[in-house]
Amino acid sequence: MVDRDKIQFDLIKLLNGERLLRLTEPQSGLALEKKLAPSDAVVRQKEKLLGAFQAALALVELSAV
Amino acid sequence: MIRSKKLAASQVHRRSGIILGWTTGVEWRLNLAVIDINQFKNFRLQGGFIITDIELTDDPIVDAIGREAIAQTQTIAGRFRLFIRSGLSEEELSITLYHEILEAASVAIANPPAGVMDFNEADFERAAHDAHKRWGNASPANLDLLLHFHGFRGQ
Repeated sequence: MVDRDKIQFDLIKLLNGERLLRLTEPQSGLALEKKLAPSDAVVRQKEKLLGAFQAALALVELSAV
Repeated sequence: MIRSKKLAASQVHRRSGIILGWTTGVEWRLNLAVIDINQFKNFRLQGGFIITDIELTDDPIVDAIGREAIAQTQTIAGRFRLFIRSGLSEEELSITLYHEILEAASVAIANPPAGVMDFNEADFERAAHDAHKRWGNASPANLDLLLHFHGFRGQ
């Protein structure tokens, strides 16, 4: 599993008021982004996205072997 | 602690921009008249976070697929970089700073304090407005107060 300290978290507030959360692993360049649901807890949405991101990173690492 | 009472008197130190005001009771407030973005750079916050950079930009913040943003906060290993569109009023900038820092801190760590675990976007915005009302314009010390208030601890 990738070190959490190596994942970049971007919180982006769009002109239309929507909020995006983007996770990026700078070494592989892999990024995953989600528009945050305004009524749901942000931390829980982040944990779900992070789980998916770490699974995707594991696939990238496997395919590189 | 500051409450939203009218100031009975105030003094402005012109060089620092600091306002020192007295309310009708024993309360007081110490505040910056103007938000100086440079004061935040390399400031270490509660929770061990560091603001490495803040930029107010006249240029549109646009991503690869053309979406325009008004603010973006990058966090990696507890280090924050903020990009904010210029042209916001003093109050809007202050509230934006409170909001961005509290939400970024909540997202950045594995185990956020219980106080922010259930916060949705509206809750973060409300917390930012409350902080602005309670402590005045965002400053490094006030961002620290905000994080401490919501349960972040440690340097």
